[in-house]
Amino acid sequence: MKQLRNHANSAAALLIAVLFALLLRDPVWIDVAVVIGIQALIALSVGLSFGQAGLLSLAQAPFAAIGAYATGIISVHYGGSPLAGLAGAIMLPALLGYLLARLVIRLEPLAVALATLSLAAIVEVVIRSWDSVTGGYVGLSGISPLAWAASPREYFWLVLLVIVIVIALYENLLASRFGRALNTLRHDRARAMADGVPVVAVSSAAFGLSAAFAGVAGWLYAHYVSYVGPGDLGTHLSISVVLMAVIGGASYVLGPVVGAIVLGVLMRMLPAQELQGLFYGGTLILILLVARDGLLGIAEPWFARALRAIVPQPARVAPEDERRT
Amino acid sequence: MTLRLSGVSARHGRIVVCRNIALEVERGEVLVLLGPNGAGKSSTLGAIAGSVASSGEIFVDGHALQGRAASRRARMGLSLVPEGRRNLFGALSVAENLQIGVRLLASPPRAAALAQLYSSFPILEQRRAQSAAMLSGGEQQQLAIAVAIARRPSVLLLDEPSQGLAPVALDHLVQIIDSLRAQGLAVLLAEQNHAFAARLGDRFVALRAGEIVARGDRSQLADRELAAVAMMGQSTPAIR
Amino acid sequence: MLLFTEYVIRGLFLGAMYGLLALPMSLAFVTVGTIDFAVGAYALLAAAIGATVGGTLGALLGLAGALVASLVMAAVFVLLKRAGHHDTIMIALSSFGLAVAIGSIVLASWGSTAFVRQGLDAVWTVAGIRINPQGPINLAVGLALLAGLTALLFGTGLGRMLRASAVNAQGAELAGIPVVAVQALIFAAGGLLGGIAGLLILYSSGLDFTAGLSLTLSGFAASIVFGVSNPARGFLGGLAIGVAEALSAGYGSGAMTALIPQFVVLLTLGLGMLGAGRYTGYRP
Repeated sequence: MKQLRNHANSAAALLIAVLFALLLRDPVWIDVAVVIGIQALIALSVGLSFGQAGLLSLAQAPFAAIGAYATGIISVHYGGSPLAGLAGAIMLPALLGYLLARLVIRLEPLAVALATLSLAAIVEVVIRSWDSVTGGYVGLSGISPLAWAASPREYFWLVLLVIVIVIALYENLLASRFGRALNTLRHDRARAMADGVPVVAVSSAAFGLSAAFAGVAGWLYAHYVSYVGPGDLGTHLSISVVLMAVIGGASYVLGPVVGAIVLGVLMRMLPAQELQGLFYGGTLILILLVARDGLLGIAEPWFARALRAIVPQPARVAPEDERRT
Repeated sequence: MTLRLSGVSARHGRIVVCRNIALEVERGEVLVLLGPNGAGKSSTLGAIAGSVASSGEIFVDGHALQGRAASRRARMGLSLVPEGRRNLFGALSVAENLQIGVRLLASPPRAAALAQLYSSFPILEQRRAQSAAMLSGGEQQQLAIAVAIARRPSVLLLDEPSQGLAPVALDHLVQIIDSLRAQGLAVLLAEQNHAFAARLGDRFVALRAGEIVARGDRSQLADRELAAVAMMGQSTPAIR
Repeated sequence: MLLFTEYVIRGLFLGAMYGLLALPMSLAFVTVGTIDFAVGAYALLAAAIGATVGGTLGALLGLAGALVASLVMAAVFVLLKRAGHHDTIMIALSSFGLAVAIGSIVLASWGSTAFVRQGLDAVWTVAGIRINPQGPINLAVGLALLAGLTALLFGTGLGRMLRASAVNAQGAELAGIPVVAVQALIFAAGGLLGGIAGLLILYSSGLDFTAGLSLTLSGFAASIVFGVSNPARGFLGGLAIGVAEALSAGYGSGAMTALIPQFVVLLTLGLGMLGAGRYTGYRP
């Protein structure tokens, strides 16, 4: 029982994933669900960097783009296997994210936001101008599909599996010493330093890991569409994943996933493509004003009461409380 | 009653740092808030000034302050010199600090008020153009008080003004506060330097662990032993 | 050599607009401790309206539009403060949301074509260098606004309040200065200065609906490159970035040129040059 409670998030994610996998049969909605799932992964990376480490990144989509291009280049130019691509798609963003964080993390958190915005612009220009490698404006096509997840339905299962694995990793990370250090750090940098937390190393590692999550999402994207172009994983995606995380509740493990599902479905109903930004920006401001802990923040007290009714002993886990003081 | 508190509790976040504080200060009176480090002296002053969250009733000149922002309270006759003279603007010159001090006065009396401040604090006249951060501790304390009284408040709150001052500067500070009392200001002075407090206080209130544990008058304040007991928080019948 | 001089002059004219954008950015950074990501978007909105209506009326309406947008930001800031948000990241994030929203409004109302207007078609030739008079106008407007802002900051009661709130917000509050209102004013100043910059850009090189965030970044790069501590440095930073861009465009590649503000930001941040000014306040 205790084991289950400690892994409440991944258990819930697994449950939802199985439900989705069993219930979703309409091919159109499967396609939608794959895209939402990939976005949910990037949103999860925002949850880790912003929700846990307090570092606002406006470059999560470019990190995904780097992942997508890494596997695309390995596949198209060198005929490498998707697994080799996966290694590149994880390592390259992680390294870049780590180095960037290392560079600016001593400064205040705002500096990180600006640095990521700069990085996003640099990545975009490099992708557009490095014709021989990235295909420039034309992009990279002919990325090999995954042999073991050929049909959209199989691919959907794969995406769900990756999400559950990432959530389990994320959750274990928070329960570890590293996670506790991260938590102290976000609330009281001075205390973390006094406690002997290697501030720069811990924050940079969290940021690098978050970039790696985004890279995995990019890898999934590239092999699903078998094409990646310069406009695919751009600024507006960086914004929408931040929005997803904030809507769902960035400090909750499952918040970004909830946000991705809600926003993903809502987006299908939006009439005009041009007004997407207005909708994103307006919602972001509104959420920050009325419900800064997102949907899960609203649902938590209600959910805790329900849980207490079912499970007799106090089911509240202390860190959750501390995390939000 | 110029300053009156009843049932005031202050908190930092969720932690209650003082509870159920009741006290009164009259015009032309110095009330000393005695207590060791961490007794809640600064928090009480902060609660009055509006920089620390609080509940309970606070009145200045009969006006209720509760629920108003610190800047609003400053306009209602209240002035605080925080610990470490943190009401000063280090990068601004002495003259600019004083100009901010008189800002709340109507515009014609401003020049007169400035002239009066310079004549009461001649050293500030000499240092006019220097930045506040460049002054010595004693000079900074004078400037901090000058800025605080520039807008002619009816209540002055002083948080450990003796801290870090040389004996000569302390003597001067006693004179300054004495003359403010003579001008009819109600002064609430938080101190842990008992000798200094005894030279000034008309009455005292002793705080420990966020609660008032003893009260007394001038003669009791002068009695070192009694006051020491008060500081330790063991209230004896004689004081109570 | 003549070519080099021409590039430098062109860069100064361009840089004046970055310098203008840097003014509100450094003000917001030093006094509120945050970044208004929407400053570039105010410029975009002013330019879009100015391009559509045209003339003096267009310029005035454009400015009004930018001001209204920045008042929205000021209101959001006050509401966030009221709700007990003291995290500057949240303020920055909401300004980011506003920037995106403005970009989207511009795209939906005016489409993706670039906004550009020909102001003056006279060409002056000075010592063999051909200059469109719009350039000197940009530089003059920028310098005049810099002088005005400096006079306001260091010569008026309002400026004193602004500087006092920047050095010691709590002390300012104790002195009866309504700090949040003063800070809200800074967001409004962002609308005004950003709007003017946008109009100048409209009559010079032009811009399209994607320009908002990159203008913000250029303005921010300008404000920090020589230290964020006072507006004159921000303006100089703008000129320097303008010159660097013009030289890069003249001798190097387009891709390189587009990335100069980004590299400036990363380099300045990497050298740890941001933050020092924040904690010591304005030092004239």
